[in-house]
Amino acid sequence: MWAYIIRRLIAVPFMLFGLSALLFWLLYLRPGNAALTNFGLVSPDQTKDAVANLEKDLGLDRPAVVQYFDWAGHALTGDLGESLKNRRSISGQIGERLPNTVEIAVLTILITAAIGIPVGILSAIRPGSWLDYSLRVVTIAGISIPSFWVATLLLILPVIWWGWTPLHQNYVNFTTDPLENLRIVIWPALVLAVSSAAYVARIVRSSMLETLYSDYVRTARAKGLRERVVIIQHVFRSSLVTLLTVIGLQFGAVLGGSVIAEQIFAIPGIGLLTYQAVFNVDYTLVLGVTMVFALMFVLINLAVDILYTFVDPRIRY
Amino acid sequence: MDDRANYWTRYRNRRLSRRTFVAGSGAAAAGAAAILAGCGDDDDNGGKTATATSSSGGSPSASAAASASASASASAAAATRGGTLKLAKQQVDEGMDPGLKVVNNLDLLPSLYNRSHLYQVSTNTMLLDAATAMEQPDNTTIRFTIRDGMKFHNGDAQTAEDFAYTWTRFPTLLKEQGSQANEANWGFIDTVTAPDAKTVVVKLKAPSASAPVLMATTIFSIVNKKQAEADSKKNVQNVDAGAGAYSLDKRDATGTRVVRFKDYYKHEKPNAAFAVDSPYIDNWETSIIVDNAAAKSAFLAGNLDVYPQLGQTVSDKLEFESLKGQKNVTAKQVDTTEARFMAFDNVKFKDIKARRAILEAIDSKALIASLYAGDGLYDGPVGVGLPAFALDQKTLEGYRKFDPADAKKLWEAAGKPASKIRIQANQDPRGSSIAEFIGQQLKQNLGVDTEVLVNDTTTWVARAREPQKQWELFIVPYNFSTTPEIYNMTMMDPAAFAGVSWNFQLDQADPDVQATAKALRALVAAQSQEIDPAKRKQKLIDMQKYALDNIVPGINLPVPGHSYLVYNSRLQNVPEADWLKGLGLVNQTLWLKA
Repeated sequence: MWAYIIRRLIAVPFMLFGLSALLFWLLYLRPGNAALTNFGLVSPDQTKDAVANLEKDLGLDRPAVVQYFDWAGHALTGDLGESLKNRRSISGQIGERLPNTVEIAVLTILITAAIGIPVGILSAIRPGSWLDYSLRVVTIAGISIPSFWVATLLLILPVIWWGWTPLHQNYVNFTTDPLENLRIVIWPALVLAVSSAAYVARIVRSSMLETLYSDYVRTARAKGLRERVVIIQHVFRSSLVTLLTVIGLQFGAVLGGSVIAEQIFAIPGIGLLTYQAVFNVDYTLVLGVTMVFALMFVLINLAVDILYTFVDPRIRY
Repeated sequence: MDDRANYWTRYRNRRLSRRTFVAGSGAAAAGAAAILAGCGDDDDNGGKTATATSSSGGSPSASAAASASASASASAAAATRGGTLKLAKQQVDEGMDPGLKVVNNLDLLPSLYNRSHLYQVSTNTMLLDAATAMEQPDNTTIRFTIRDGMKFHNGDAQTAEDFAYTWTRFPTLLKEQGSQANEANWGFIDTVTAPDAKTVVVKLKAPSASAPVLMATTIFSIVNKKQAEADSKKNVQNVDAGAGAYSLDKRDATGTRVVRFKDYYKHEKPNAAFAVDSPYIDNWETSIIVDNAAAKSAFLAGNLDVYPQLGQTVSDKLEFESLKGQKNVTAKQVDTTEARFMAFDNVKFKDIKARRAILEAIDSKALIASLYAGDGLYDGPVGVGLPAFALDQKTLEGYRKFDPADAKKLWEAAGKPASKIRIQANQDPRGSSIAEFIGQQLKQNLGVDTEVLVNDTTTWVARAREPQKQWELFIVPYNFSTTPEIYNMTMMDPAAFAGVSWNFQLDQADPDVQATAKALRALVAAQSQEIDPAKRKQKLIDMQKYALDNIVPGINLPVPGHSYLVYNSRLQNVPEADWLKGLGLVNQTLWLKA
């Protein structure tokens, strides 16, 4: 298995290189640059020297290939450079904000598992019942309703009904005040968990239904095992590989969803940073953040692959 | 409770009795979710009644209006000292140097920095701040006497030398560091000297009617020379280098917080913006809230004092109506601060018949009826926000003739200069609705194919700047400014945005466009250098009529009749007429009702 892990890790830099090159090119093709966003519509006195000087200062006057490889060269040494907009260190900005995003993602996955798995199991063991139908309706609704809409309702309805808002304007880090922090991040996590829990519930249900009537389950029942043992140890366990795959993918989706959730709930995370960087054509910042997202996604998938071997001993690398 | 005490400090300091433990365990079992959802009382408005601070008298040389002063004094008598003003903004600032960055930092600059004086639009009055006198011995000289004993937040004394330094560094900041303040804001300055520690003498390149008003804007905030010189780039982007009423307490990704500066000077002679012992409010907190629904939620829950965001008003009348009846909400109708300009690509539309065809094909009355619910105004080159100089509504209406039959004839007579009219807008929701409306009108009345292009701001700016325009009409939203030159004329002056962005350059290859641009520039310069108010008004009328008669370099679109100011009822002494016209965020006589 170690050989497999090493092979996967060796592939990571190549993948990041390809991804960053593609992303840089897409940003480069876009009209305008970070220097122009500074000036707005630009009057003639600014076009004479100021825009050119700022472009030179930011290195935007160089050919695209030079700009990219200059960035990539520094990135290889762990130096992601400075934001083109506010001139602050990108590593510093990511370091400040990444824990906030990771916290929301982890909390979302925990809520997803805590809701999605029991709902899926309940639905699967009573197929065709009113409970099953009700849960299927709820899960379809959960998948269909966009997160930003759920978030907007969550912000507006309580304030109309009770004069209370879940929005906290002063973000507090987990290390500073865990309870206060949890009161802040629970809401974006709940919003993101709505669709992912619904998705997980449907996957668990269908995966369990596939095995519920198989021969080995019938044998387990015939042996006189209690129904709970049959369901949990035989039926559900066989669904774990599928479940792990889905949760791994959901983790990536949650990281992507954090862009919207952080924007709505005013969480100073990496998603909000990405949103602002894209609008400012701050390509060094966009590339830096995307590399971190991509790296996290790769590592999560690697972890999921490793976990397969624990939940299904037949899997070997 | 000290809001800086963190969880661990409180945990360590807490004494847990048996009764507390038993009660706590029961509560925890029953209501973990409720604890998470619980809404803490973070209202720290512990107000203390201030002493009455009224005193009579206006500013020595700047004519503080008696009524404004009286109103300030009356309000000061009832004012309560203390509390935290809570605001929101959408993006983190790009820096705190007032000469370099003027975007997303309006919560900081007016608090951290002082200025020689402010300008109150509603009374056309200069309100002295760091200066105790301001005089113009001749048409090209402005002399300031500055007050004694002012200190920067780091303890340095603020002297005339700091003023001279601040006001002469603009060209270098623009050229070397890409300042967001351009020559339209400071180009009138020739030299600034400090003959002694209390006197600053500004020599102008030519007489300038707008100079005193422009010198009251944020970019003229005084920075500490020593701190700026100590920086390798000679800027104060990331340090508090001001001598304003508040000093910086927090600035990070979640927002900013400024607190009362203990050594802030007294204004012995109060005016509409300053009382003797102002400011009344202790702290200002600004949170980063990107989403408008989130800002609304926070505002209605009482966690924000102004809605929607810093420096913005509610522009939708329906939303204003819905907010008006809410608990603890004050909603007022004020003069509009919105403006929108629709530029031509002046090379494609060099024939006046084509420009007139566009103008006559747009039904401005219908635009006002459908997009502003009937509450709209015609706008001209000076802008309705400056009624002393703007053309009256009847005159402007005369320039907005809707005649589709004539429009079609003119379009054909001009040789149909475009087979398709592309209208470029940005993500301003109202601007894109206007673009759609105009697109429909042109399609219907000129029989031409139209396309509305809506892009993010960066792409939109790049589209404006490209020499080969990928659009025929370009819509720009902007807000009120205090002088004609930096208000609607910024969009129209060839020496400002019109030159590069609308192909209306003074050295444009097309001789007709060049001649029109030169004529308009000369008229702009003439009014700018006219000191006599009556003569200036006439020159402004001449300038406007030239632009309107020639329909260059675009069309001032109708504006909403009103904007809507919405704030928490605990906020007192709000200068409604001037809130979005420069005085809202620097008015130190604002106070919070406990």
